[in-house]
Amino acid sequence: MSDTAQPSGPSFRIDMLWNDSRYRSTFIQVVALFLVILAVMYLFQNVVENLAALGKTFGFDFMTQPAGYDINQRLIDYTSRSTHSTAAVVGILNTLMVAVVGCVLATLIGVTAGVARLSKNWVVARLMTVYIEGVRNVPVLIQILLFAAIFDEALPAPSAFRGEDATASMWLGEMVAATNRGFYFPMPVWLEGSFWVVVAFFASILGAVWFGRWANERQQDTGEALPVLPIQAGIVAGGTLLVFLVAGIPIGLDYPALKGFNFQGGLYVRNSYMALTLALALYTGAFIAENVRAGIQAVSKGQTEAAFALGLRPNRTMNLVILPQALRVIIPPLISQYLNLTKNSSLALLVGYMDVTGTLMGITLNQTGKEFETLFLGMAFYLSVSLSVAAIMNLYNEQVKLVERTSAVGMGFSVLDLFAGVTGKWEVLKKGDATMKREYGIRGLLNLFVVFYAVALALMVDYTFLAEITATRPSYFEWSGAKQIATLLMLIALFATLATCLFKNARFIDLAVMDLLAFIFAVAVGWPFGQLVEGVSGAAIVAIGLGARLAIIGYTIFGERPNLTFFHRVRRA
Amino acid sequence: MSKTDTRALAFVSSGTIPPSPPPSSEVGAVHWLRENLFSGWFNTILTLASIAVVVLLVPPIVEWAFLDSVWNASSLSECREKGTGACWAVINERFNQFMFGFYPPHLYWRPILTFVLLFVALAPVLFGSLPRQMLWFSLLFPVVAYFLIWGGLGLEPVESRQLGGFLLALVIGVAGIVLSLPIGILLALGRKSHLIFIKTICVVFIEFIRGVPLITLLFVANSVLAYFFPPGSNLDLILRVVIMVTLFASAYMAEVIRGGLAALPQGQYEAADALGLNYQKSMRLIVLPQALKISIPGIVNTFIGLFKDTTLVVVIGLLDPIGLIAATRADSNWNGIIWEFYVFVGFFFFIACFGMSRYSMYLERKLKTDHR
Repeated sequence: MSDTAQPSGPSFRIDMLWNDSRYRSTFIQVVALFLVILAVMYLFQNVVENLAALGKTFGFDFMTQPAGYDINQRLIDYTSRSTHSTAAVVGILNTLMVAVVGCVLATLIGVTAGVARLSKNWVVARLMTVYIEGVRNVPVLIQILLFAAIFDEALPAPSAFRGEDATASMWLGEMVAATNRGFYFPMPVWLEGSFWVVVAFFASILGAVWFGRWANERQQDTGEALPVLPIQAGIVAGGTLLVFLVAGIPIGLDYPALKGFNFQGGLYVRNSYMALTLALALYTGAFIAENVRAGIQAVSKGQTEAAFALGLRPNRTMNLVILPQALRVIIPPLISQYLNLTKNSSLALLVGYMDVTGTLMGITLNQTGKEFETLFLGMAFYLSVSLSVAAIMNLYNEQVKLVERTSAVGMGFSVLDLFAGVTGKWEVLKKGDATMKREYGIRGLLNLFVVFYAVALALMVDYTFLAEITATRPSYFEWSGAKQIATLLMLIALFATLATCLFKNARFIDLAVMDLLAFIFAVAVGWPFGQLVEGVSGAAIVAIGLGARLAIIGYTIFGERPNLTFFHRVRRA
Repeated sequence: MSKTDTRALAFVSSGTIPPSPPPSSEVGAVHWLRENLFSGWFNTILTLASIAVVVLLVPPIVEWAFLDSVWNASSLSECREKGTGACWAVINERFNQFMFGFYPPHLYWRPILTFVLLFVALAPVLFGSLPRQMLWFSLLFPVVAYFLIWGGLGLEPVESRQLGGFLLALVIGVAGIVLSLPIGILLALGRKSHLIFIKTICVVFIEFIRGVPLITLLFVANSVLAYFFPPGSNLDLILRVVIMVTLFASAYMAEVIRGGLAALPQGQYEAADALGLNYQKSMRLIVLPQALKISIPGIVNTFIGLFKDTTLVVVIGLLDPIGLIAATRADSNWNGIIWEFYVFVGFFFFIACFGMSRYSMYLERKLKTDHR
């Protein structure tokens, strides 16, 4: 058995393709690629034939034609003479309005109900169990329709508020009127000088944050704990109130009042919106409550006992020991509940609230008969929301995950590798690595700036695609080929970011470099930057855009600690 | 330690003194109330507020739904004459329609039989103690169910548009789950695969489907899907809906099964490799049986979600329970009834979903002891 001569014969046989591990994976992938291409071609050909048989064409030029229908609740100017793309933007804004308000409400309801269900108070805990189980197990559509029916049928008509013998009265001290036509809330009126109040508000928030950090550092150094929360609240409230009074009370409230047959003034919100938002918030809140409960229960009792043994009081035990661990469990499902709420808001169609499903994928689709194009755009909207949120969530998960036995992280080529000679090898470090240091301050903020920049880019792409800039601007598919390519490159840069975020390898530098190239290309082919914002010349936008991009790249590469420490992506010292 | 002279003591107890009862505030109902309901001012307020909510809500609801309700009448006006509460008479009259839609009444036995057979087919999957031969019937069940519901093979054929009500919801839900299971397994394996191209396809598919609302996929089923088939092929609307619902459910199923695969200890994969099993065999014999077993509660939860989501088919004009509400309200006899429908349909869904979620929790507890 000493002789291990090479077997004679041909070195490659055809069956080695699926038996030999050297070739097998390539072979399987090539076959799969081939099959996928075949399937796509088959489907594509069917679509082409079917469309040709019906005499339909594919194109987005309908987006610049007048929509011809009215939308009863809108956040931006819109008339029936506006284009389909404006209608789509109105719908998108309406969707976002439901989603944002619904998420805030659902979080409040969910956290309260989740904590209350764990309460030692038997009555409260049972009541919350009934709420959670009852709401979770009934389709959300029924709940939305039920709320809409309650608002339409059970609320009084505006005429019931009139006269001496009024059968209905306004709530909260004559501030809110709930009628079968909709809800009327007081609306803030922004007078001259209100700008400074807003500035003061944000400035005092910054001050409060800065104070919190300072107090934290002080406690680390001296061991002396300050009452941080009351002081922070004082800074925010006091600072804002001071400017508010000095500026001469520039913000007032416009109350709704009954005039004629209806209420006038104030903020008018349709019943369809209220029903949709409340039902979605209650429904999603029940799921969030379960997540919160599971998160709190996931922290073992030993942690509480250990904290008590160290002499921490219940309050601090909750803040310093239980919550940080519970949040790790709570936040990922919480975010996916937010996404569910956003997706469920498409049910607006059934109560007559015009969200993006109702405008773009509803009336526009029916009027123009462009099923492919409208559904594509609508899905792209929902998808971009979902993927952006998923990207942020992945970053969060990366940050909070426990260190385990794992294999190599990340994959794929990064533009960053080109700069490896300058910056040294970049790595994704894990929690617990000795060189890892959280860095706040100006550099951490710059990192956030890069992220916001990506978001701004996304908005810009959406804007150029969907919104009307000037009435004469031709639609995308009527642009010159070079302009189309420039826009496409920007889109690719955007999706490259989203994709790299999604695969747990946040490489914003890739985005920055690709986007810089796209931008230079766009300038070279004469992209219509001058039309982006009314009254600002194209040269200024080009200069600002170029400067911002170069600054970001320079910062990312040559900054003293250039890496995204905000997301634990640091260079090994 | 020294020995005491007992005679010197005046009194020595010969037995133990019985323990005196605890103070009345520390035992029984009073103690429980103090501890759990009135332990502080905040808790007391909460308790009183909760009791107030219950007292305010429950009596009117009971009065409306039971005490003052009318169960037998032929129209809404007759209902209102008989009582001020709920008019359940409409549900009474339209019960069969809510269950079966416009399915021919003399053929009701067929969906009912299918429903019973569904449990026969499920039994061997859920209970390992039953004979394994029954799995063959489980495999055969989709075919049997198809012919029982739509007819054919000598049975009187029934058209798709005659299906409705909870029958339709169940058909779409069960078909979606059953068909999505194999696709979901393949997607989950693909997502964990080392083959970069296959992994990419699976990830893109899963994230795409999970990123868009079901309602948009139903729009696709309604208006676009037919274009993807060869010209001239005329697909039934319910079939198109089932196709899209299957794609939808398979993405969620893939994530559930991926969770099951991830929950399996790494050692199981390594052991399979060490035994010299190739990929197919290690998956079929070692990994999948365990991973699928862990995933059953998740699969049940996916089914609950899908079953609730079947109500969305009303947007493309199918007559599911909610679609039937609109149809019934349009009837001049019952025009004006609102709450009864929502309460009835919601209650029905609640019973079904609550039961299933309890079952999945029970399964979760049962399976936990095996693995921890």
